[in-house]
Amino acid sequence: MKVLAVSLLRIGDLLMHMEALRAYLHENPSAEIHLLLNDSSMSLRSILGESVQKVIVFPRKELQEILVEQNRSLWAAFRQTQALVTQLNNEKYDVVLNLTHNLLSARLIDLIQAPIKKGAYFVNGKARPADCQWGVYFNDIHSGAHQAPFHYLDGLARSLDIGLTMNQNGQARGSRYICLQVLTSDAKKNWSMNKFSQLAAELKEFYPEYTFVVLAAPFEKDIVQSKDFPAGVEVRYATWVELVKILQDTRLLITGDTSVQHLAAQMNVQMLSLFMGSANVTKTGPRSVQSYVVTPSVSCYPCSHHQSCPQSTLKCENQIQVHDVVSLAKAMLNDQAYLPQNQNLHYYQVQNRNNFYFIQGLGEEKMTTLEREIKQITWQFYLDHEYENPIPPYGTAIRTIMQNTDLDEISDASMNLKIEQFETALMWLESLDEAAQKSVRLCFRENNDQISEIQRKILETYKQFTTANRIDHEYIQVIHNALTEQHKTAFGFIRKLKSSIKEGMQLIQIDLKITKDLLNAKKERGSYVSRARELS
Amino acid sequence: MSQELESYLKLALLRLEKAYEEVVKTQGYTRDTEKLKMLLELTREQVPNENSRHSASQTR
Repeated sequence: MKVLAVSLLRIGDLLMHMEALRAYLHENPSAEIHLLLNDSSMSLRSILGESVQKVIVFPRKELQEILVEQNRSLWAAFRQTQALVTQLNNEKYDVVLNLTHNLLSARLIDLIQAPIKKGAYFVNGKARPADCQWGVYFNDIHSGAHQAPFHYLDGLARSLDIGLTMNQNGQARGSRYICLQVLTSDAKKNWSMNKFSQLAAELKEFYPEYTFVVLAAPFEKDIVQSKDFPAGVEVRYATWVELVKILQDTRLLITGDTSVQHLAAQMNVQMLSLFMGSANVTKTGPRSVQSYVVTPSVSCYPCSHHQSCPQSTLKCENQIQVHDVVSLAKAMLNDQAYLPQNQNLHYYQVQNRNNFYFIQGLGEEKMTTLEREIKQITWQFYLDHEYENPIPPYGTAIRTIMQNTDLDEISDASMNLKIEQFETALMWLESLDEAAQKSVRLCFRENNDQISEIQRKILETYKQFTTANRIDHEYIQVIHNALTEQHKTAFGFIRKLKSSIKEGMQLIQIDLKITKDLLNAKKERGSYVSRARELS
Repeated sequence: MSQELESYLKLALLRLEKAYEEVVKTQGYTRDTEKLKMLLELTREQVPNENSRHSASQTR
């Protein structure tokens, strides 16, 4: 079976896609996988391993150069595209897997002939609906700015019907290096090199048996060379092959860079990720059980991937201090539990829940963790069609909650408060929906002044509502996005708002239902657990 | 992204859109128009708009 996997995103995404491809190969051992990747990702070719039998280059850079140079004909780019499509069609693929999930790849796959296509693709120039609920969900959540309860790779793999698992083999225990990846691809995600230098100096005193290595890519040499690191710290400008070699013998990796993080996660290296700027711990954290992630608590975190930091100073970076990282790294190196010392930061440990990536907040309130778990498990329950099964009422999902959480530690009062908040939010959304409906009528009358006034009032009400009720913004994040995004037309604004209201209500209704059921389950804990045990 | 590059990209988008419209006018929808659409998406990814997040960055 010949399979074409299309991976046309960044290097970090490609590294994650490789994990999905290995899982696909495990399920389809006879598959011969060809990988289509960007010319800029070719440096990774040497570490792709045996899963990929052939690499085909997508000449992104060359095409883009032709397209922007005014003295060159568009037809040069067209002919090159034609040559690529012919090359791909000559391979006569049985299956095409779209790991990229964007418009470019969806249109490219439209041009490739294959009996089976999976993921997003067009048919004769028109978008087609997703094959499964996971596909719809992945498209909705990961294409927008919504808060996703799942890791990007978990969502992508399920949308392609690939059974991905979290690695449960425990941590690799290299004995030689403690590595510090000091730069990322984006200035707003960097922890300062001075702090990394100080970190190396402090850790070196406690762990002289390890070699401390500062990692950087060869093209970053000029930036890293200008900084001083403590005596004895090695600086390696490592290619991907060299990086793999170093990571094989690494005890701990401290990194802000997600590409290196994804590679290390697949090698089961224990790591401490420092997430700032647009690095989102839920979407793209390290898929390596028992790794840790530290994030700031500033209100603008995580920010958008598309723009540079609008703040006068990098607030994220300022918040994470050297001693915070030193104390957590020491706990990790000593295999000790860690109790957070800085209340301004969030600390997470990566765990495996039902073969899904899950982040357990350290020192956070039990209800907060439970809420995150409910959200993830509820969606999993819904997207996997578990609701079609007879009993138990919430299937394997609720059993997982019951097994992992000591419900007695969570008070009825906190759950009742959450239910009250959900119900208030629903009432508010209903009234907002009515206001939006009025605006639709005004749009047809083209009364722009009145529409602007309504938009202003809606925004004001939103602010008052969230302040007064202290509703967790995550639940109405979709509404917030609709209200703050720029829309060219009043009708566009209302249309977006109405669909966001509907989406927000669906999210809250699901959370409300499962929280109520969980509260009932808690009350009837004895009989419920025995029933669950009978069935497990 | 520099303003100069952004204006080049916007110009490239205009050229591609015009070429696409011309081809559709004369031939209707074909696989060739789909190739032009693909090139349009490729260019859009580079302009700082809602599709720009998937542009490729420099790597090792």
